[in-house]
Amino acid sequence: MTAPLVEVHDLVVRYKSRGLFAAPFKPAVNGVTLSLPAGSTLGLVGESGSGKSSLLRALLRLVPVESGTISLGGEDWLAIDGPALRRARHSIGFVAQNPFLSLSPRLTIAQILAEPLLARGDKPGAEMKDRIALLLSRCGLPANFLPLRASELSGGQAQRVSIARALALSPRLLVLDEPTSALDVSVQAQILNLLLDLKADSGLSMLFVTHNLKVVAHLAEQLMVMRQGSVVEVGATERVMADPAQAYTRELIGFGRRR
Amino acid sequence: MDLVRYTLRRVFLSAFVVVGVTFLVFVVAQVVPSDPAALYAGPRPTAEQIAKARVTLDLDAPLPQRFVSFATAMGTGDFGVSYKSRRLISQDLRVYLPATLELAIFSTFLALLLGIPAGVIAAARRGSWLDRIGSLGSILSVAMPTFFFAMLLQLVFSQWLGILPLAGRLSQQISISDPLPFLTGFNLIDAVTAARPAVFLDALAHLILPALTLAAYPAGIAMRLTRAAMIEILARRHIVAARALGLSAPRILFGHALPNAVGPALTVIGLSFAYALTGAVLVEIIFAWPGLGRYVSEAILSKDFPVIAAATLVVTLCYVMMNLVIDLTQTLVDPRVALT
Repeated sequence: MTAPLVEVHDLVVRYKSRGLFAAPFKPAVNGVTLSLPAGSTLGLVGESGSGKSSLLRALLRLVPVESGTISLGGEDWLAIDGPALRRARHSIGFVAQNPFLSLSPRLTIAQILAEPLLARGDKPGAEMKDRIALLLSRCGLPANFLPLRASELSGGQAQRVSIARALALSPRLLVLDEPTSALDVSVQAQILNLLLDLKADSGLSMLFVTHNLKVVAHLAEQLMVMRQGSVVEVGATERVMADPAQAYTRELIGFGRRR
Repeated sequence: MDLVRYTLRRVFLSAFVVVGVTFLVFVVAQVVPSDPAALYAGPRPTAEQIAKARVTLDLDAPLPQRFVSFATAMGTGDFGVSYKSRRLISQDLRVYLPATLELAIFSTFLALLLGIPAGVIAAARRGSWLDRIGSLGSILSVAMPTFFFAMLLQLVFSQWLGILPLAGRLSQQISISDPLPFLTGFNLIDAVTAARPAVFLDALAHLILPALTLAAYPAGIAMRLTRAAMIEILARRHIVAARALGLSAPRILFGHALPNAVGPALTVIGLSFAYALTGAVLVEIIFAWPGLGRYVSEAILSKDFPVIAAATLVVTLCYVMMNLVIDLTQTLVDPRVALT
């Protein structure tokens, strides 16, 4: 058994309610525990509002955590702060749902891909240019895309750029927030195949958030089903898909098949 | 290529505005209910003096011919003679315009330097005491009447603290005993050219309070606009993605968010430049600033039309150029502006 890269224990995320007399919100993530072994992929599924994106944002340290623990590579991830957190974030790559919203509209593809490298302290120059071109070609795009802006790309091309940016610092973990939901079916398949290739090549660990069970079955060894902030079911993807223990999981699988 | 095309288009539009204003000024001169010949002839003129003035001013020539002469004269900088003072208007403008331009440009820079960073800090620290103080300051700077703010600054910095001069462009001992040679009319530039650092500092000290008074309003507006735009942009997905990827806070704020947010604030500051050119009469009076505002307001009261026309054209030209600079700055900050 491989040692876990990510371990989450009893995690609670609750958004602040605004207003002096407003009732506190229910937790968006309520006591979630998970473990992601190095080199494997965990698919996180659930309907809208199930807390999967909040869990992901907590993992990325984009929202405050109310209680619980997160460890990354054996380190207490929630104890890191300030510039150390900024540096530590380089070990996690992030791919958002809509590439056109997640890529800066002002910058060229070359500038977008250079950003994480510059943030790490790499010096601009010929070596960085080569690295950027290599990153792009690894994600299936030629170097002549570098001077373009995101608005000049198709959805699939923009998502490839987004993945290339996430891989720029050779992260240990790739977090993907519904990376195919804004794309049409043929492009979805291309992106999923690209992710499979990347995983096979570099042994990346992935946390893949989606509401589409078919997508996650294609990629993940482990599956976790969430509803109203809590974990409904977790297990090997094949087992959960073939023999779901919970009615809600059966409902999700049935919905996927009807579609 | 897009930038070159955009610049040419903006220059063409600016030239069109200047020609349009020239035409408008000429038309207004023809319809105002006063006789230029009577005004030119002086107080209580005789019919003969008026008739002579009509010939001197060429008022009996056909309108198109008069427009061509008017436009040519304006284009060559020959603004004629003031009806009231009988001085050459171009000579008056050489004295008054640099004083006003120096004040307007300096106050525009102050508005940029104060308003935009304050808006960025307030948005980055939303809800904190820094945000609250910034918001209160911006509301005060917008709501407070100019004359009151000017007097308040004079009271605090000149009377109480004694660190800045009360009024004028230069200290009396400099302007009387050792005046600055007139080169450009911009005291800061002339002091540098004459290699007189003490005079430069004196001119700068005299500039601070009137410029701060003029900058207060646009800085307050720019702060509010920048804050609102930054809050909206900081919530965008590409900013969230930048944070998740470990980009530094200054890089996110100034490299990603601000270039997207600064457009409206730059526009407001550009517009306020026009106000600073002729609308700052109160500021010029309070700070005894020998500028264009006072010159024009006196010309308006005495219906000194050639002065009004010349000032209108010169201000239009300055304003158009400032807007061109602001537009081109926006394209440098955000290249997408040139593409639209």
